Amino acid sequence: MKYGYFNDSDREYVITRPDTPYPWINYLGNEDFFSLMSNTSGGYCFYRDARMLRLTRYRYNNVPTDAGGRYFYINDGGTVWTPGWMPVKTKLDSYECRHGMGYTKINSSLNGLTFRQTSFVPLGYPCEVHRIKLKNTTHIKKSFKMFSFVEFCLWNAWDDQTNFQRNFSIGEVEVIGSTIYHKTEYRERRNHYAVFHVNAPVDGFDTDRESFMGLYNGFDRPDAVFEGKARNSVASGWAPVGSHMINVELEAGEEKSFIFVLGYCENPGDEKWEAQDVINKAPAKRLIEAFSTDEQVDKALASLHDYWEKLLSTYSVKSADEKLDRMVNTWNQYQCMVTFNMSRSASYFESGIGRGMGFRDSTQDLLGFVHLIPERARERIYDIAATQMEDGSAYHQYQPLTKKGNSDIGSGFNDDPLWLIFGVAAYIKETGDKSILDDTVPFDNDEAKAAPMMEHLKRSFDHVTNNLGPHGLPLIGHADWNDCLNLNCFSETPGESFQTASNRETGDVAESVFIAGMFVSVAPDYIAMCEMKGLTAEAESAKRAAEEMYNAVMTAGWDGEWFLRAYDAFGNKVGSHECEEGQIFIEPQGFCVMGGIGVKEGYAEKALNSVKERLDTKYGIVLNNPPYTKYHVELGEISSYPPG
Amino acid sequence: MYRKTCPAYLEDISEIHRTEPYVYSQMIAGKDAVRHGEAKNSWLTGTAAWTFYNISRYILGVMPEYDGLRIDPCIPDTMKGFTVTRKFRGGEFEIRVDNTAGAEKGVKSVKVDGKEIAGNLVPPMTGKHTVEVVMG
Repeated sequence: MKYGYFNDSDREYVITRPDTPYPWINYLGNEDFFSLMSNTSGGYCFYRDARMLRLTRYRYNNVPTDAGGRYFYINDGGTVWTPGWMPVKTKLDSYECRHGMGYTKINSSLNGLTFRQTSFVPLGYPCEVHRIKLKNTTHIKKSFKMFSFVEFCLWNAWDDQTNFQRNFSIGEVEVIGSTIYHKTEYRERRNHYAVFHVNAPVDGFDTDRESFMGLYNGFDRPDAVFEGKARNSVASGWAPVGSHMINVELEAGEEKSFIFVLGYCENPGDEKWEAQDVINKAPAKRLIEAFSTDEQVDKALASLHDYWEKLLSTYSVKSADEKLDRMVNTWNQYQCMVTFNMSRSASYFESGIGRGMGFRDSTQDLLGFVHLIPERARERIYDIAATQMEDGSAYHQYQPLTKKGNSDIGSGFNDDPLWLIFGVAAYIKETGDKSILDDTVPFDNDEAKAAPMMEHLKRSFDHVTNNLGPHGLPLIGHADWNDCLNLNCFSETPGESFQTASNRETGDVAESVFIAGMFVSVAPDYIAMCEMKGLTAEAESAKRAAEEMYNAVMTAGWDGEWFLRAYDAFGNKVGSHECEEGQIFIEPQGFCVMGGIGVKEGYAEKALNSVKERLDTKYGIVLNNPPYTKYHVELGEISSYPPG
Repeated sequence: MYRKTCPAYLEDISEIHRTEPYVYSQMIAGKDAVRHGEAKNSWLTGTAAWTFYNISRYILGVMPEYDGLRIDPCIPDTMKGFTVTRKFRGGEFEIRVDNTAGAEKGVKSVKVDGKEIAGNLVPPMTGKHTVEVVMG
């Protein structure tokens, strides 16, 4: 069944009932400030780095799900409701949520009061804007109260959820008229604060969660809202929040507009203060002044619209299939932009704490993004290549704020280096700009170890040929594209991370047919780039390396009806008909065929027929089959999940 | 296969698929799983880039190469034609693919601004251009 519909002309998905099978979210923001926003107004926002500079608090895996966000409560004559349905869950007369390109609208109504919310992150400003339009559709005057609500995060999202011994004592705010400043730690080492403002006089406010909510109440039952009475609380420690209370009066048919701004403000170290203990409010003032009228908001929305129309005009299709057209023209490209911006850091499944930007993930994301804004793709390639090690290997991730690589989620993923070649090739193919090969890029973020990008590609390519196993196939290292196939891990300890544990340090036996297929796939690009740079000898040697790899796959990587997946640390086959479980895997079939391996010999066709026969289902291709039902210590995490 | 995992085609089974019908998820539970068809980890996944790579370059067949745009669609024989508009290196190409022949793969002829070219590689050019492609 459906929970909404596509509105193709406006590039929106319109959700028509709030209780979707999971929170259905949107991303706001294109540059430095990003927000996640669900169809029931849940989510949070951050500046640049979801872990280090988070403005609002969000509790993952909460009960009920998706509790916490930017809420607007209405108390209309004792009936309390929230327009996004959550958290109060009062039955609404109407509800819809429109997720569009960089904005989300929630429109709902109850008892003759219509609430229309447009939320977005404007281009060029580090803030989110929520414009609320309230309309009285009855024939009599209405008086009611509206409360805004956000809960501030004490910036470092990890610390915020763990270090209560300190955090319960450090929360600080300042309230001036309709503006709430969250300034925890600004007194000491931070040079940034958050601002939450509404462009109208307020009739009360709250900044202390307990005062606003009541200690034993949830988001669904704040005392201040249900009693219709703000506490005018000023937080000191505990949990700082931002809430404005506005008494609204609407004549029959009258509509009023309120603009809320929630923003990130930063000052240079020597301009932090206006006076003793009085923060420099200049950056907040800039945001407030930029969005104080409907005309300004309309203009910013129009710019955002133009921005997306221009981007999405780079590639569009018109066919007889509207579903194909809407995916290609709008949503698939939109998602590519989001993955480019976020990598795997912050979603409703990624907490924004655990992971930074992935080396492989981000390079891979470029393939879907490079046509949209090639200049930003080039910057990203530079950042990624700068975390590469001198031997061609890579940190598996880097932190977006510092751009430094780290091993927090493991390293030694031996497919990683090859992705850099894919990324650079995609950039040149899109732009024709070969100068990227001459860019001087550090190794291991060390300027003293800088070398041209072409040299980085050579180290990537050589990293594979320098790390071949007993069959002449690439050593898998910690894992490859499938992070869960951990052939050198041998983990027997509960709680040990499959991604970082490595109990077979030498790792000189386990080989990946997947990486072999990828190597052969990417070799023509590497060779072409060598030729562009006049590196004829290197091109020739790369050709030979690719041929040798091709032959290694044909002899040691073929199982009879499909390509093998790997050899484990004992030299046993993985993904073979000889195996009891996990006889065939999709990844090597895909990449070997993409590399053209076995096409002329008829192996490629056989492999794909095997995929159809053994892996195809009505919902797509399964990863492997038969599924692992037992834990295989020599295979790692892949055999730790329930079958299927 | 494209349709089987493409969220817009799964909108009608949202109660099974569960995640957003407008974006890809990282995974969909397989045939041996308890909840076959249920998706997890929507939004931040390489699936987004790979599916766009696949549909834009290999199925619809408009592929940037070092020396231009290669046109080489691979489509169902029931798809009788489509038009792709592609901005590329300062040019804008309206690529009209005619598949009245009902082919799945293979380009018979390519005309750029009315003039037939050899092969199927359209060189980079600034300005607006029409590319007529006949499959068969």
